[in-house]
Order: sequence, then C-alpha cells, then structure tokens
Amino acid sequence: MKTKEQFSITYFLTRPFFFGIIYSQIFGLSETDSIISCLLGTIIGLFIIFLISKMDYSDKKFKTIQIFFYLFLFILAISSIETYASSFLLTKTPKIIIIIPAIMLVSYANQKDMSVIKKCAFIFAIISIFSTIIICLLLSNYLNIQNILPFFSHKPLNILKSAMIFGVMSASPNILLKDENIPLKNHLIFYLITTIINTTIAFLTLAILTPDVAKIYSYPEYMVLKRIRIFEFIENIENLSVLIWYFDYFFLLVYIFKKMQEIIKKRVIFFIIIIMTTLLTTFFIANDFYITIWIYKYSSIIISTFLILFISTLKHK
Amino acid sequence: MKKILLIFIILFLTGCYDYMEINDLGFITAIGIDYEEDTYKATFEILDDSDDIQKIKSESKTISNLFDNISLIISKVPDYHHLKTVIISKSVAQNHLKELTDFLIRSPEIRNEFLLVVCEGTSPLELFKKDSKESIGEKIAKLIKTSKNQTNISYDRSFEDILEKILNKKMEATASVITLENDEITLKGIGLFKGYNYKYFLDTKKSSLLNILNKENTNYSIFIENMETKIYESNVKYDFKENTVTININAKAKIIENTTQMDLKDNKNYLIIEKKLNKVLENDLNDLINNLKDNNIDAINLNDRQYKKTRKNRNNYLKNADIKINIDTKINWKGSIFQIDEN
Amino acid sequence: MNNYIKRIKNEFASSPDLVIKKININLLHKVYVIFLDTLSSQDKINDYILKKLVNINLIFNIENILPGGNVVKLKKYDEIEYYLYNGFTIVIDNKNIYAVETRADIVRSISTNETEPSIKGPKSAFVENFQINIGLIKKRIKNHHLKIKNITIGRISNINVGILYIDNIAKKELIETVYQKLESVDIDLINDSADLYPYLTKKSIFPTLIYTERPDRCADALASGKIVIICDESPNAIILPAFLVDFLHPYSDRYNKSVNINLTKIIRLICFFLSIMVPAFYISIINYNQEAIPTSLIINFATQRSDIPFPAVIECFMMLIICEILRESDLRFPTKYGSSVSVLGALLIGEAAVSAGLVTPIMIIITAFTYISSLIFTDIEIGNAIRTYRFIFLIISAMFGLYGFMITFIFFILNLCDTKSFDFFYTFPISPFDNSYFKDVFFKLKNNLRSKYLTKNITKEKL
Repeated sequence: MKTKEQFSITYFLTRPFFFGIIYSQIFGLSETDSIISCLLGTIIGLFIIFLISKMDYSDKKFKTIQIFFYLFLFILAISSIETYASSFLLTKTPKIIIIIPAIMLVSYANQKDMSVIKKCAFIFAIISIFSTIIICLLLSNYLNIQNILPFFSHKPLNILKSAMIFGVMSASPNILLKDENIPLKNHLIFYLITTIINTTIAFLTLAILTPDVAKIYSYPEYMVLKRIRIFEFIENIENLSVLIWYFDYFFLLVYIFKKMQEIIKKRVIFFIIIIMTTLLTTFFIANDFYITIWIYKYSSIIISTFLILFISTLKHK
Repeated sequence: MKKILLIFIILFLTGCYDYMEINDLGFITAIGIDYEEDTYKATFEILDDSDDIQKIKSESKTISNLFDNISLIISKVPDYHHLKTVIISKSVAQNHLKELTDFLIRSPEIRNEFLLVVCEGTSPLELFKKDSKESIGEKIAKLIKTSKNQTNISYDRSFEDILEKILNKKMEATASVITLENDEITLKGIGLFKGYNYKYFLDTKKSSLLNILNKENTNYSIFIENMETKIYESNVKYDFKENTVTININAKAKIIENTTQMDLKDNKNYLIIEKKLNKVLENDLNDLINNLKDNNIDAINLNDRQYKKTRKNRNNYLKNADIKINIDTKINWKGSIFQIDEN
Repeated sequence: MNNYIKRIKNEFASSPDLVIKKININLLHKVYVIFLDTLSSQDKINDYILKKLVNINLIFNIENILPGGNVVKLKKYDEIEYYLYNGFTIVIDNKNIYAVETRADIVRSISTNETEPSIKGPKSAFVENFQINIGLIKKRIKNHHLKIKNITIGRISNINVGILYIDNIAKKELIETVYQKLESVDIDLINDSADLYPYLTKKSIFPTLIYTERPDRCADALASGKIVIICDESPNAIILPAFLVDFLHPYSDRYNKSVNINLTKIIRLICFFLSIMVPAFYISIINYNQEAIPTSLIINFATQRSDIPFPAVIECFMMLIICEILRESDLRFPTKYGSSVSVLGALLIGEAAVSAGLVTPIMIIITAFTYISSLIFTDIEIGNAIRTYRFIFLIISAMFGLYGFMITFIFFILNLCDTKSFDFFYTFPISPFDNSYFKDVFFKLKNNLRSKYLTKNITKEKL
C-alpha cells in the first residue's frame, strides 16, 4: 500500500503546470516535433529527480530559499486557477470570489493528518487515470497521423528549449516530497509513467488539431475536448472533462501549505503571508495581462534558477 | 474559528454572478452573412421557448456590432453553443473572410464544429424568408451529411478543418456551395479557396472526383455506351520523384444498369468493361487536373503531401509538376440478375 | 438477622411486590425467604426452595438442601439489591445470606427480523434477553476460543454488557481499548446499545458502528476478527470496527450466486453516488453551463420552465423538503390508520403540482430518482448521511456551478477518508487497499484468507 500512495502523490505533483503553461509554450516553439521534445524533457526530468534525491536539507540558507520557492509556486498555481476558471466556467464572477472557496478548502485539508491526505490521493488518482483513459479512447477516432509528420524539421535550438521547459516545470514540484523517503528507483518509475500519460495527451492534441491550429490557441488541450461526440447526442462535455485537472492543483497547494507551516512555526504569521499573497496575485497579477504573460513566459527560467541554487548546496561525496 | 467561517459564508450569498435562467436564453442555430455597399448584413435564426422559430435581421459596419445588434430587437441573451451552420455570400468569401474567422475563433462561446457554406446566385438572407417550422441550420447540416451516399459533391468537414487548411501554407481550403433553385435549397458543388479568398466552384462531376483524390468518400458514376457503372470504394496513393507525380488508384465498381448485348456470364467481358472504365476515368481526372493547373489552385494538396515525404520546400509545385495517373478498377457487384434478354 | 429484615423493610417500603416469607424450621431456627414478585417466577421458587424447606426439622448446611444450579453466597449487605433486582431469591439463615436464581421469563419469543429481511438464509433475530442472545451466537460458534468479558453499566440501571471476541483471531489492542472505554462510562441509565454510541465513536456524519439484529451476521464478524457487544434488554448488537462497504451491501448477499450478485453490487455503488450528486449536477447544468445539454432537450426544458414563477434552485429545495416530510410521516404513522396518507403524498408530488404550475415535470423525475436510489440502503444512518451531503452539494453548486460541484466533491471524499472507526480507516478496502476484504465484501469473488488489517491469523481454509 505504501508504494501505491507514493505513486499517487508523485502523479499529482508532476502534473499541475501542464494545463495552460507547458503545452501552449511547447506547441508554439516546436510544432511538429513536440513529441521529441517531450521525450527529451522526460530524460531531463529524470536527471533532475536524481539530483533532488542527493540534496541536503540541513542548511539554514536552504530554508530561506525554500520559502521563496514555495511562494513562487503558490503564485503561479493561483494565477493559473483564476485564469482557467474565469475564462471557461464562470465568466462574470470576480476572481477574488473564485479563489476564496479554493483557499478555504485547502486550509481545511491542512488541518488533517498526512496519512488521510495520502489515502485521499489514491482514490483521486484512480478517478483521474480512469477518466483520461476514457477520454483518450473517445478521441482516438479523430486521429490523423499525417498531421505530425515529418519529424526533425525545426530548429534544434527550439526543440531543446521546449525540452527544458517540459523537464524543469514537471520535475521541480517533486522537491516537496523530500520527507516522504521514497526510494530513488520507485520515484523515477513513477515520474516516467506520469510523463508517458502526459505525452500521449500532447500527441492526441497535435494529431487531431494540426500544429498550425494548436499554435494559435491558448489552451489547446481544452479545445481538443470540444470534438468529442458520442452517439450524435452527447456533445459539449468539455467543461466536465476539464475538472480533472483541478485535482492536481489541490494536492500541490496542500503540500505547499504543509511544508511552509513546518518552516514558519507560528500560525498567525503563516496565515498573514497566505492572505497577502492571494490578494497580491488577484489584484495585481491576474487582473493585469502584462504581468501575467511575463510570468508565464519566464516561469521556467525562474524555476531553473531556484533549482540551481538548491543544487549548489549538494555535499560533495 | 467557527464564527469567522460563518462570516465568510454570509459573504458568499452575495454571489451568483453567472446565474442564468434557461428560458432567458435564445439559441442561435444558423447565421447568414452578406456584405453590400460597405455594410455587413446578417440574419440570425433563433430557437427559444415559444413555438415559432424567429429570424432576426441586423446591419452594421463592423462584425462585432453585427452580432451585438440582435439585442436591440429580441429580449433573450444569445447563446452560440448550438450553432450548426454559417452561410456566407460570395462577396464575404472573396474579401472579408479573415475578419470573420478571427472573430469566430477568438470567442470561447462559439464551438468551432459548425459548417461553413458559401451561397452562390442569391444572397444568403433570402434563404431565411420562408415561414417554416424547420430550422435551416439543421437542414443544411443534415443535407450535406446524408448526401454522401448518393451524390458525393459536398465537403463534410467542420470549420476547424477548413481553418487548418487555410493556416497551413502548403494546403488550400475547400467548402460546400449551395444555391436557391425553385424555392428549394440545393447543393451545387465544392468551392475552392486560395488563402483567405474564394475563387470559384467546381461542377458536380469535378467535385466528386476531387473528393476521390482527397481521400474523402468515393461515389462516382460513369456512363459507357448503354451501361451505367458506379465506383464506390477507392484507394489512392501518391508517389513523388523529381518533378513527377504518379497517382495510383485502386477502385471497386458496381454495375447499375446494363442494356448491351454483352454476356455477363462470361468472365472475359469484365476485363473489357474494366478497360473502358479506366480510360473514361483517366480522361475525367486529367480534365480536373488541367482545370486546377490553369487556375493555379492546389486543391489536391500536392505540395503538402510531397513535403511530408521528401522534406523539400517547393513553391508552385502544381504548375511545374508532371502528373501521371494509373487506374485499376475491379468490378465486384452486379446486382441480382445477369441480364435482361430480348430473345 | 432481625436487623437485616428491618433494613430491607425500610428500604423497600413502598414497593408492594416485595414478599418476605418466614419459615420456622424449629423453635430456634428461622429462615426468611425474600423475593420480588414481579421479577421472579413462582414455580421456580416453589420447586427450588419452598418445597425443600417445609417438613424439615434440622438443618446443618442450607447450601446442600437447596437445589438449583446457581446459588451464590453473599458477603455484604449491599449486594442484596443487585441480586434481588436480577430475579434472584434471597434466603437468610443465621446471618448467612444466600441468593438462588429464580428468574422469570419476561421476554418475547424469538421471531423473524424486521429491519434486515432476506429471502434465503436464517431468519431468527435477537430478543431482549442477554442469555438468549449469547445462546444464539454460541450455537453458531462451538469453540472454546470464544470469550466474553462482562461489565455493568449505569448507576441506577446496572445493566449487564458483554464484549465477545475470538481469542486467537481478534487483535489484543482493540479488545483493550474497547474494554477501557466501556469501563470509564459513568451515567445514570442506559436503555439500549445505541446509548453507548457517544462513548465508542468520535463525531462524524457517517455511522461508524453496525447495529444488527441477526446472529448469523455477528458470527461471521467474529470469525473475521471483529468484536461484538451485546447489551441486556436490547435486541440490537454492535459490531465494530465498521467500514463504508459494510453499509452499502446487505448481509443477505452471502447466500446468493456470486455471478449475478456482482452486477447488483455495481448498481448499488453507482446509486450511492448518484443519489448524492444528481440534484446538484442538474442545477449547475441548467443555470451555469447550459452547453452540456443536447439541442433536442434544451428547447424542451426551456418551454417547461417558462410557465413556472420560481427559479430552479428554489423548486429543487421545495421538492426535496417535501420528500423528507413524506418520509418522516411514513415512518411514524402506524399502518392500521389507513393508507390515505400515501394518497395525499402522491398528490403533492404528481400531476396536481405540475398542472397547478408550481413545478416542472423534470424536477419531479429527478427527486423521485434520488429518493428511489437512496432507499436501496436499509440503514437509517446512511440515509441521513446521504441527505446531509445532498444539501451541501446543492447549496454550493447553486452558487458556483460546476466549479462548486468539484470543490464539494473533493470535500466529500476528504471527509470520507478522514472518518475513522477505532483507528481503522473508513474507506478500508479501497484506500488502504486490501485484497481479501475487497473480494469478500466489495465484490463476491473467491477468497481464502482473512484480511491482514484486522487480524494476524490469516489462514482460514485449505488453500
């Protein structure tokens, strides 16, 4: 049972930044070669996880860097939730009212024990994998492999850039799992399975919408779901299928809260920091497109600098 | 702690910004757009909870005002999720398609699975004049879909497919064309685009041949000297070498009507019939390709196909290439009888 | 001796059923027989005591004269009250106090069970007597490893409560914690085993103990490592620890064919979720995300809704509350008063409400569907828990649409995973995943072992 729970939490912590941030950037940079950049990105991600397992937590400098890193992940997650919910599901509600129930739910879950959250993660992992399999089967009717050929027809620099984006953004939240003592071999296998699922989703979106069309959308993995049609009667179920991506954000936020509370020991200061950052993101970052697009574009570079700072604390053995 | 939660819950009761009653919505199923004398004119077909289907007109100089002016007349909030067809006139298709596509793709409420249809001969606004209980959007969509088995002269793909072909610089887009004949909506053929501009449409024979070459449905009837046959299944392959293209077609045919003196119990006669079929088909295909070459429209997407196989970026491929056609048909259906004898 | 009689007469002054009989054996020797008329049976007193004491002139040791299986010698005066009220007869003889068991059978006979009916399988149910209940269980487990621990609870009531377990199967820590919790109970009066509920569980919406009337279910639970608590004067036994799957499937599944019953189990599982979520899903689709409804239905819904003055949320609340009122009145009303109540209820939810222009037909279908699917579960506690969550789902998705539906779904599963029944996780066969309990209860498949989570002795048949 322990391995099953560890699989489900790695599954949820590698997935969150795919929706809205990774896919659109990869499709824009390397159009038909996105599959190759995904495969290269998994290799980079596996290497990053190997480095994470060698890190040492006992440095004091490490803790201050950790707080800023978790705050940045928190800002990115909250702005992502707000833009996605307010562009598809609830178009007229102000963003502050969208984010308040999410924060309340996460702080309620924060009071529970870690073992409860892991049991919860296992159930949600079953639901999520089952629904992605059904959606992939329903979409496979519209596949056209001619849309992806030919391979290796774009600049190698773009392919490498998109591979870096893929690897860094998907492997970096795994730093939150340092205390779980997952053995290295299992961790690598779990990460590999999750990225295989995500590359099949990228493959399907590219093969159904051609790369030219997928380039112009800002949420291509959502636009693909509009093509599902069952029995010529059930259609337009994209708003239901998109809710699966929310579970990843929930678990990411719960883990961020837990780890930050271990470092900042007093509850009052912790709540003040959380409330100030949510107000900051909703009123200054999410409502102003200038800053939002800047953050999305350069998020991978900021996260990779944090990773380099972490890796510099490696003890030489 | 619980009192703070109660205060927060009271705050929520001021919400419900997106709450919409279902009988306040008007569902738009078809739109017809025309451009005359510097203004856009449109008719919208709206289904709602009353018994009639309402047809609302609006005019404006810009596209967004065109869609917003519905609210001056009707008291329902427009809902575009059930849009079935958009019918554009020839003048819009020739000059203003780019603005229209940008507007339609950018709004998230419009699901891009509708059909784009060009109306020749009359303005699309006249299609909506009849007082009928049938919605025109659904009628056109079903007409295009169900005619595939008998006369294969329409292009049954959604707007997103047309957009793919426009955005890809190596392909050219096609769309179905309709007219109004004797007060009935009839299909006319396939219209050809070059980039965002509409050029002309092919007649029925050439449209079904174009469907065969593009690997869509196959349904083409051939008449040879007192015998009528029909090709119902085909397999098309393209071979590319330096500036020459060979198109290999394997087809299956059926005999529909036979009043010749040929004895269909003798198997040598089938070879004779097949040879004649191949010749007629080759002539017809060469006609189509010459037509496309003269107008310089790459409707069979040769440029894109050769790029995917040979990775060479070529412009004006259709004009400079040498095209050969090899056809191999086999008859494997002749019906319940051999022949009607006169003796 | 006279002191004892005076004290007894003072304490039991206004109970007219106390009988004190004085027997003179010889001039110097007197024997007093004291009993409560309402709790003892006259036949047994005559047979065991009175017939033997008359016609005797000399007694050396009264214990050898009194027949009867259960004769206890009392040491203190204070124990007299306990034994008198349990139906014993007190014999006082020269400062020796003896208590002889002559209990009257004020109990109904064993009948068929009413709350968990079954077509196949045994039909006997527990009654309000401690000895008969334990006898019904012991007839099914004829093994010396079955042990019982006795506790008396209640200052005024002094009711006997027994904890049953099988020695080499159940976990020792579990037995110790249950025993300590029941020992620390200090209240006036308990009437039924349901009064022990607050001492054995923590606060939660879902029920964490099983109440059952069937002795075969208790025997099966004992054999898989669980503990049974039986309370005197109560026809229900408590089985702990309990998990969610135990409430979803009735016990009589065990006596049916496994291939057919697996399909019914899948239907029940789907109905559990549908009965909670369907009204909220309908409201969020009708009011917030209308694109998910197919074109052919949407005009239909719009025409239905145009005649109704209320918004859809208020309609939904009204219908659900009316159905709750119907269900309550159905439970309380005795069947002999006639069936006109059901006719009145059917009028409210039916054609009359639609033609009066108050509700749409689709809302009636949805409420009827939710109630039919919630009636599959026979346990009342599960029905109440489903109702609580149904209202929470409805309120939040009426404010936020599909986004609120998803948030409440996460909250629901988080609460499910958080409830614990004696430190065992409530979502047991799925979330701490266990192969053998899954095959036993969740689906009916071939299974050879007991589950490792509940016991260490896992072999039960020849492999």
